[in-house]
Amino acid sequence: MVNINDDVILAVLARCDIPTVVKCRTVSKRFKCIIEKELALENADFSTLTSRQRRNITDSAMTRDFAHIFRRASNVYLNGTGISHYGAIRLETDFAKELHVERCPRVDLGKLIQAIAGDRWLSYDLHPVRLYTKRRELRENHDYRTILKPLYEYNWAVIMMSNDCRCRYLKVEEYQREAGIIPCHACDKDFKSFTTDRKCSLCHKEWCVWCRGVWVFQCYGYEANICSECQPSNLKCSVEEYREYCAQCAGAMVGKLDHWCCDTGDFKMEPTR
Amino acid sequence: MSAHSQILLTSSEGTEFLIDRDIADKSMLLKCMLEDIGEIGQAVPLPNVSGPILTKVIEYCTHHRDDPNFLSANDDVTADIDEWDLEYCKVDQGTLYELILAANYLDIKPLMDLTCKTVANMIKAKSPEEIRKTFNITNDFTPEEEDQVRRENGKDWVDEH
Repeated sequence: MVNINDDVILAVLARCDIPTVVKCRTVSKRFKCIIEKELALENADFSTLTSRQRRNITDSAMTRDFAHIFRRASNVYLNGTGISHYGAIRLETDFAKELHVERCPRVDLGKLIQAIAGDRWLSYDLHPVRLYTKRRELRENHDYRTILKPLYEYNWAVIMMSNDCRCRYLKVEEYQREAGIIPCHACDKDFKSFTTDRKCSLCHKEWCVWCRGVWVFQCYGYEANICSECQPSNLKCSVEEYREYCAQCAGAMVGKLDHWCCDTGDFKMEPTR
Repeated sequence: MSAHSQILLTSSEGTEFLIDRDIADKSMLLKCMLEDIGEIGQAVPLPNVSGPILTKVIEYCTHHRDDPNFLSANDDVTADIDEWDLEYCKVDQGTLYELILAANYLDIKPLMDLTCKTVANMIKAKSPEEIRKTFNITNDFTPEEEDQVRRENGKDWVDEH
């Protein structure tokens, strides 16, 4: 009988599906420790998942993908996260490779990626060969959609990764609540806003980035975002068309338009929509 | 550099193996080392790999010598293992573990994937107790601790597997 060492255990578990990995936690303290520390599964709360969710996970390719995540999690280092106005997420690795992830209809990928990547760095106190391997894996693992896909396609759970390389599971709703994400007021998609500048200054309802262009405009008078519900008569200056005003401003502007609009003296207000 | 140049490797017990450069290049460790320092005309010592295991590793690399997908092998745990590879892995457990360690040390990812998948498949259908027997592992949990871990895992994981 041969004794198995930790490197072998880790290498094998990294290639097991999730149910097997979970099962192996009960084999011994050493197995449990390796699974939790090395595979970054500490604090994973499997007990909160419903039976159906478990079966779905087991039955689908997601099992494989999650195994992929666990294995990769400790190797992932993303140098910065940018979110374009079109919702594409740009990731930069320390190997100067730019990656693009399609926008996510269900969760805020920007926060998600930030949560996964955080400020973590590769550990450089590793054996050179192993470090090289990790770098190589990172280079080869260029398609982060592989990693992120199950997180938003299955709407199942989100891994939150803190700086000490530990992760835990949250249902998407829990994740959103913890992240302070408020549902979009306008659209019926399960998509959330993530900055307060989409909040209507008058009614304080929040709007997601996708609705903003349709439902929200920036009132030049109030210098604030006003939603369409608070803007019953859209008005703008005919000279400086970018100067739009909400209904409240339009009322206030009567008799003192020069304080509010162009200082040319040649102006009038007219409906925009 | 000639495509037919040869490299001399020395196993942990001092056995020498003369192999073609393209076979050595299947190992990222050797490939990078040879690219960095060039062919020094001396044997490359591999103190972590025994002769019999190095023989098996060379056998694997030789078989996959002309495999165009050698380095693009993925680690999809559900991917089928080809017939030759299946036969190759029909060795005793000790050899299998040593092959994993050798593949890790020599940085031969397809061999690492193959051997680890083989072991992963071995434990997939086993209960924790059977896994302990397979790997000669002592259960060091107290009954209370084991019960706690099972609860943490959740009932369904255990029941279904």
